[in-house]
Amino acid sequence: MHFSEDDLREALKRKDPGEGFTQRTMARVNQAKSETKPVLARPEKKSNGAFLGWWTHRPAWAMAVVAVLLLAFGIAGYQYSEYRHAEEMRMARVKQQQLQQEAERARDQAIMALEIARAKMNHVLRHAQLQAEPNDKIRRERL
Amino acid sequence: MNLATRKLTQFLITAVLCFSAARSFGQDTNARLQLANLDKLTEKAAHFTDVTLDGSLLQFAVNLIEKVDAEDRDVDQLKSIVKNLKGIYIKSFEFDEASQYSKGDIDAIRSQLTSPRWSKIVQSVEKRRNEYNEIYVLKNGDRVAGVVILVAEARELTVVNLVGDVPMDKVASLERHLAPSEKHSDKPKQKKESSHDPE
Amino acid sequence: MEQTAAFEDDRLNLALNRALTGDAQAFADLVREHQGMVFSIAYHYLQDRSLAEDLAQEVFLELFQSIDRIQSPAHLTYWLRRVTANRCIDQGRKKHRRREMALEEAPEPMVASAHADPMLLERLQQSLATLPERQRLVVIMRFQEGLGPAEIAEVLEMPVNTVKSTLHRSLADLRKGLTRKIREARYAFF
Repeated sequence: MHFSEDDLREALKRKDPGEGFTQRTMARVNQAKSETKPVLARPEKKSNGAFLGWWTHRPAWAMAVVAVLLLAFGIAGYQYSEYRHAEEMRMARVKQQQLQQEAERARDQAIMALEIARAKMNHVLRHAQLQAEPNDKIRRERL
Repeated sequence: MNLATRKLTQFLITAVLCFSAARSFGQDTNARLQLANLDKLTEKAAHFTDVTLDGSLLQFAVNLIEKVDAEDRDVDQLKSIVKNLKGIYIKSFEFDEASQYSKGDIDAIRSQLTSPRWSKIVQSVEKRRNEYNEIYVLKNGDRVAGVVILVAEARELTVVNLVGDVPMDKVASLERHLAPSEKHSDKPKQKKESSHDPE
Repeated sequence: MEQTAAFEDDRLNLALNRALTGDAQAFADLVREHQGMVFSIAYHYLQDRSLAEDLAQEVFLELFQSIDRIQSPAHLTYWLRRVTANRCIDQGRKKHRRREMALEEAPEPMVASAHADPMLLERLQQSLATLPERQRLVVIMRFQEGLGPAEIAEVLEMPVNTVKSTLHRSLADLRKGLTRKIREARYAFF
């Protein structure tokens, strides 16, 4: 069977709930008002802001968020201290390496310096020995 | 002995002891020469070597050398030399031409060796070649507190100053292969930075 | 016309603002203003007058408790439609079968239009009750409230394309259901 959209609109026209609906509804509202502290009687709640109001009505959510934040801060703090420790260890290793390199350079310099000392000492001794040679010719050849 | 005499005697004894302590304290510093006047020669030198090794740097070197665990007579000799050293100071210049330094430069070195505690133990002079080679030793009783080796030749001026108890015979008999990769006497010298750690 | 609409907006704005401050009379005005809409959605969905009135009262009770969230008269209308639709779905799931309607509970007879067939209208309503919950609400929002697909999508929290396809399918199902009922009636008659 065919029907038009107008037929559907007609079938679904708004209906009035009848006499007394408003009174019955307000009666229930007043009853609820007397049982709990109504929102309407607390206009000052608006001064807290909708944001805070939302949280105060949901303590479980608030506690969950606080717990998550504490955990997040705890993890962040731990990771930061680990990073600091690793950084200090790294700096200590770098410093140790630098000291080691400095020591090795000093060692090489000391050995070179003693070699110079040896060479020059022997140079002087050799010249002094040769000067003691009576024969000038032999001395010149040796030099 | 009255009170005044007793006080004076105590003062004199204290003064002598202090003086002796000051003398013994200054012994090693007397062994170190001031070589800064030779720094001006670096510009003229074709090659120069400048070594200043003392204090903690020398101690680093000594510690590293002493850690070498080798059954080598030469390593043992090196260890025995460095363990009592307090400073190694070297200024060495090689020139392409003669007469690049003056007699005054050498006299400035020699003037620091006029103290009776310094003894010139070896001298070799070739006036015709203008060559002066000398070895000085600073004695502290029976021990050596310092050594100066001066080599002044036509194209070379070298001053080696060792401070501390130096075993001269061991220094002279050190083998060449102990030197680091750059050897001093046989190869052309390269200009080097000095390592200085003031005490 | 525009002046009337603007006047209505101002009136509703005033009532809402006064209701926000705790004015019970202003809140009652809001109830009176919207009770037809809320009750009709519930009635066309549940096909049960007393259940529909209960549901409508609960919607207004919830409005009373959440009045500080309402930002404007348009927001109020949107909020009422959405809450009513959700409560209809919850209520429909609790009720497994439609109980038999007593005569005194039957809806008031509509003022039939000159072109409308009362039997057709009644059968359309009965066919509507056989549609799945989302389809039923889409049809009610479209043909009772006159909402477009985008508005229906916002109220029922569905994608717009889903609303369009649901509407199309719902009308097809309504026609199928209606044809079956006519055949049954003819068979019973003959």
